[in-house]
Amino acid sequence: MQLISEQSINKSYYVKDLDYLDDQTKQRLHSLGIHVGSQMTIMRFLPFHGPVIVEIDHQKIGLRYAVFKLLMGGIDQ
Amino acid sequence: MTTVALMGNPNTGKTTLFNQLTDSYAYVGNWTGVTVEKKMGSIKHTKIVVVDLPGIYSLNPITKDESVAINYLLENDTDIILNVTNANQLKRNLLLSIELLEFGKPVIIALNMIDDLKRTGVYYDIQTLEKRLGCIVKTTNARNHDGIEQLRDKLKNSPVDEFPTANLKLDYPKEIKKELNLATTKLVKNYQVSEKFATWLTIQFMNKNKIVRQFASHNNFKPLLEKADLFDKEKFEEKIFQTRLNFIEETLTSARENVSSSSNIQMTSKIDKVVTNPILGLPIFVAIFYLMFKLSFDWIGTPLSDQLNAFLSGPISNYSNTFLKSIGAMPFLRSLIVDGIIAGVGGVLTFIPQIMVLFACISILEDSGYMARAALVTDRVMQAIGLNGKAFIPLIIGFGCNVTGIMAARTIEQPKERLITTLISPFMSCSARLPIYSLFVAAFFPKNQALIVLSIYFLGIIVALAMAKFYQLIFHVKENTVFIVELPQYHLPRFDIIWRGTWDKSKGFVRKAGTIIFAGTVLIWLLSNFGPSGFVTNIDKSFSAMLGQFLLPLFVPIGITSWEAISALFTGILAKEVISSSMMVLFHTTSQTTLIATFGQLFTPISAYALLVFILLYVPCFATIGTIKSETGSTKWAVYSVFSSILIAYALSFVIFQVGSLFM
Repeated sequence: MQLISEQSINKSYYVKDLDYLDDQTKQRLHSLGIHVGSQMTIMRFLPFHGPVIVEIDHQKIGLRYAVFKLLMGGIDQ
Repeated sequence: MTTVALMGNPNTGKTTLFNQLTDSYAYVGNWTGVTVEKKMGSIKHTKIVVVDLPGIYSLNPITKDESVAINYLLENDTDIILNVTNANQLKRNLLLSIELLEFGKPVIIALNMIDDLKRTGVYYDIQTLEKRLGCIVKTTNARNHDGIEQLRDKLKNSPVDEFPTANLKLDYPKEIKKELNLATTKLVKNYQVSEKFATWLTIQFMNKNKIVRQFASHNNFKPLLEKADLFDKEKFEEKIFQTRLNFIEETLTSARENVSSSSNIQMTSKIDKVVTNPILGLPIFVAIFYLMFKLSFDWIGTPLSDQLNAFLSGPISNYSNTFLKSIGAMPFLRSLIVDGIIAGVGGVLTFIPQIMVLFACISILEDSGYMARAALVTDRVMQAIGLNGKAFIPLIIGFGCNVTGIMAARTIEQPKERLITTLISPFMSCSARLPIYSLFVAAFFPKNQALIVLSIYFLGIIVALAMAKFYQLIFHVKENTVFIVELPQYHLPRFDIIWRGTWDKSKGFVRKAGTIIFAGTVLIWLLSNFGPSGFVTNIDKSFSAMLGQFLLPLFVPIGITSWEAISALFTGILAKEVISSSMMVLFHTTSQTTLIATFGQLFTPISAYALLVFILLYVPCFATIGTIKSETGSTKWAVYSVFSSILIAYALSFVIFQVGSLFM
């Protein structure tokens, strides 16, 4: 699978999917006001598929890479 | 008495606001640190009690500390809910506010960090918010004391019955409203529940709130239990979420005002570019910790400790001895006070400056917002051992006190990850172990004190991580874990907040000096002055000597050849601070300088290092053992922790001493 590239940094995307996440992760994202359609700006990727920092509604959030990929609809940019 | 429950999302400045509102306070949990248990305080000259509860994202708990907050609401009849929100992130903060407003108690919403909001060029019309939400809304900036007086006055001067009771009724979809009416009517009629509580209970039940579902099951609320499948099948949870979100967006749009922006929030982004840099992130993390140790051991802590020691072992000790002689105190009593209590308790008190500097550093990291970044940059490493970056925070807090660290592990979502974090926490070198490290590094490594102590700390981390990996394999921990970390905006640490955090953490140490360390010192003095034949003048014939000499053959392979050290290690199980005070008593000295000189004859640098490693890893103190038992709910894990740590400590110090001896 192609890697999400560093070129995506500072670009905004819409959250495409929450359905494939486990219940707890989905619940926590909901509590943070994140839902399908939320606009998310990618701020940083940590190395070795470490966490990804995104900004949603003026709040910065660190997510696991796998969760981030699911939010992007499972498709790499 | 009026009870005000302080509730809100994490990182909303709730604890700072609590500290500003209350004049005196006490922890309801036994330990200080992060708010992992509820904390109570009172507003001066009033009968108003404020309860600070752990930060929660919603009333449906994922973590153990979130359950504390929800259970408080269910089990206590709170009079007013003070909902602290981060004004800058009102959209998601209001999701919790709606749940609290639906609870039906009077609610005051504090829009805290209001200055952060203004900097973004946005403001909200308070009257519009009050009208839409049906409650009192106040603006505050707790860090600068802004709005606190007004909030306190509101609480002080308005009788509870004058507060408007929250009466928020959202326009949920038709099918939800229908089921809500049905269930509420039945609950009110058949179970003697108030209408407001029944409505809230039903909405929470529909929303799959685990605690509420248990509560309904426990009370056999059939109107809810019988409909659970229908509620879930019809995706009521999703529909409730959407309704709330729409309401919030409408509310914020109608209340929104634009003001001129004085934006300096770019600062957070600039700092983050450096501290979460893919290449520099981890080295910066290590550097920050190195700086912490330099401050504690080389630059500030140690010089102050040395002066305090000179004062206690010099003028105080001599004056007490002369005074006791002049009033004709028995030699026995004089020895107990001067050689036992002053030497032992005083010997531990001299380390207060070092410990306070370390705690101040931890408080600065907490207050500035760096801790969340530390969790982020360490996540990838932690992932390799089956944990997540959040487990790193309890481990760091464990540097202060293992008990607090274990309590802080409550924020970890998965039970298995929480258990692993609990089991590896005692390997983190708590501040109580500092006094004994300081004595040995001063004796054997005077030029590299900070580096040697840092190496011990890192060894503790490595052992903890290795054991975590071992447990990951044993417990079959799966990969999927909830790791969502909010990165709050950086704040310039404020002196009063840092001081309060430092004192909160340090006072436990001072209190211990007056209780358990005092008791341990007296005990060791008695054991070293009494033997089978009664009072002994030669310590070699005391109970301590007998116990130490009996176990000596076991300790020789790890480089310990003095029975005094072994007896001192035993007392360390009471509390780690007692080890150094016991050594003071056992070696009959009130001066650290004399004790350091004595060590020179009994240890070599390599055996001293092996002993420090043993002290780092062997049996957790009583308080930690008790916490492991209470947090895991099992004696088995507490016993396991004791035996496994002895084994690891022995094996590692054996290897260090034996291999090291080949080269030195």
